[in-house]
Amino acid sequence: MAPSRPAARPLIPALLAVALSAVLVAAILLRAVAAATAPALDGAAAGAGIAGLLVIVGAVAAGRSAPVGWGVGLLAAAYAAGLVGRGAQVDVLAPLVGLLLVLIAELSHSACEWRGPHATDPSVERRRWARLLLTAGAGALAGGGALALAAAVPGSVPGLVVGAAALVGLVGLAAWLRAGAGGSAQPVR
Amino acid sequence: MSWAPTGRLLAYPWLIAGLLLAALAAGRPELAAAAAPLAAVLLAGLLSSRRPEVPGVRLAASESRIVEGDRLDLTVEVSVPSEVESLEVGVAPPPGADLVDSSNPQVVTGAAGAPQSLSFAVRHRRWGAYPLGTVHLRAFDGFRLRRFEARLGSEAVVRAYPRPERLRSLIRPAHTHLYAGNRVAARKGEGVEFADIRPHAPGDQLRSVNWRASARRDGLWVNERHPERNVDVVLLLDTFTRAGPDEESTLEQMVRGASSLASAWLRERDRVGVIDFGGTLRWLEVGGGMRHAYRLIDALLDTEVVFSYAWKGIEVIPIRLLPPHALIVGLTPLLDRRFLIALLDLSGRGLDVAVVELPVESHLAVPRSPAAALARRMWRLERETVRARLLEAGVGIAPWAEGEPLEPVVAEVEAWRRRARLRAR
Repeated sequence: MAPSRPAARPLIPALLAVALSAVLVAAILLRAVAAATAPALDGAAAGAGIAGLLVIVGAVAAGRSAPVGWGVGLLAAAYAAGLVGRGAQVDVLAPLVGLLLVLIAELSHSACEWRGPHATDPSVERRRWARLLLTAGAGALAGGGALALAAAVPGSVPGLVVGAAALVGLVGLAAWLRAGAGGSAQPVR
Repeated sequence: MSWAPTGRLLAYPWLIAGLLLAALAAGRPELAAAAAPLAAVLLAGLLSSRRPEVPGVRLAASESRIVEGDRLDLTVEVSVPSEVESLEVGVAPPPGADLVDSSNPQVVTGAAGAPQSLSFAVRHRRWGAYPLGTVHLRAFDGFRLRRFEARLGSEAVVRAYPRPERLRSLIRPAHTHLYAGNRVAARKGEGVEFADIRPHAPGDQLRSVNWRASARRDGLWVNERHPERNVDVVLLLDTFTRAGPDEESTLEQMVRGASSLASAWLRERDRVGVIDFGGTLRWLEVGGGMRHAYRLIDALLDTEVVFSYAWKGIEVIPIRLLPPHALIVGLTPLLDRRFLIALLDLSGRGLDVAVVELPVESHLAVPRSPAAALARRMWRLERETVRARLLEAGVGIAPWAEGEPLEPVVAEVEAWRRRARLRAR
């Protein structure tokens, strides 16, 4: 007989998500203030960053995962605004920002899911997080490589973006078609 | 298993698309690089995700019959599909039952195909026939992008019996039956209970000689005894109407009382039958024994009020349901005139009738106007008249207030019947 396990506590991922969001917003603001080239964009970055942080806080506090995407999107928008405001200098930490966005999103979603009725197995959760970090890390490495390529070859940004989007779209479509949807229940014996 | 996207699968494509569009619009490759980890997670998740088959689930209960309020252990045997690492298994108990002392849902992991057992405990708040519940299965893919779910119902039923009250004394019927039982008959014959002594007559057994009495008198004297007989009891349930909300209604109380009375009489080796006399007529003929006890309580669990305008008298009751010399015990809230007339008719035909009244006063709202208060007083007077008519017809009646024990009510009816018998002599 499988032993019953205590439910996972949602407070830890919630606090981590909020802390990482705050760190990201603070970093964006500090770098924008240090560069100080476009005050309007800096203001937009600050506004979007703080709004994103508040949305994340609200989502994990209410246990609703639907706004998490909006919160992460606002944080990404804050980063984009800060980046554009810095001028032509290439930001080599962009893949790390992407990694942070993944972590914030995953932690927030986990915190929301663990608020409702659920059961988790610690070993399965550990394996999932290891897999997630490895995959996101590999993605960040790939992003860093692409960034280096784009910096070395001027004017390659459109090709890079179109290629990435097409790849994501094709693989996503293939996976969707393979998985199918729907299903039906059958009675218990 | 059916599937649905999680919040991740709904959000990540838009985030990636937004970052890539912003990279194009601003000419900044950093935004495409920032989208790369999200894209990697999305791609890996979609590629590794496979929809699992519905696992074989076996839901079993530790008992098929329980007493209300008792704990029932449910066992869910389930095997984790190979496509997922872990499976959340939850049980949704039917309305009227609660999960106790167990976490819900629980999780199972492990090798594919190896079935595992999970225990859940439920408690049924009130009597009735309940399905075991619904098993909810939930699993996620490796990156929690898709949620797979299945909901499986069970056709098995568990019956929660009303908790019987302990009754040490019962209503004594006017006549006993010919079959042997635990009840001491009024007449004399072969038995255990001492009745009297009389002079010896040819044919008397030697063992019945009372040697002490014989020593003091001339000749032999023998003991006379009361034979032990059983009785036939018919519980007549008034299912024309009821008062009060579901779990506290007079119907609920009626079934509880009928179950207690039937159990007590059956324990005394008497024969008990039941008639639902209401919008529809349902019955179970008199019988005895353990099997009949289960059959009778199962029949009581199906008792319900069926509303009807049709006038019904005792002529609709098949004659074989009312054996000669049977004691008829009516349980009624005294709200429907048809039941009252039936009781009076039965008594008028010489049958032995007693009534346990289920008061409805506690289910009524407090009158808020002088007119309502007057109407309430008139209604009370009318009920008093009904009770007086029953008593006048020789039908013992006592009210059984909700939440009170049944035993004093039975004793009150029996005391009135004893007084009536004495008056009749």
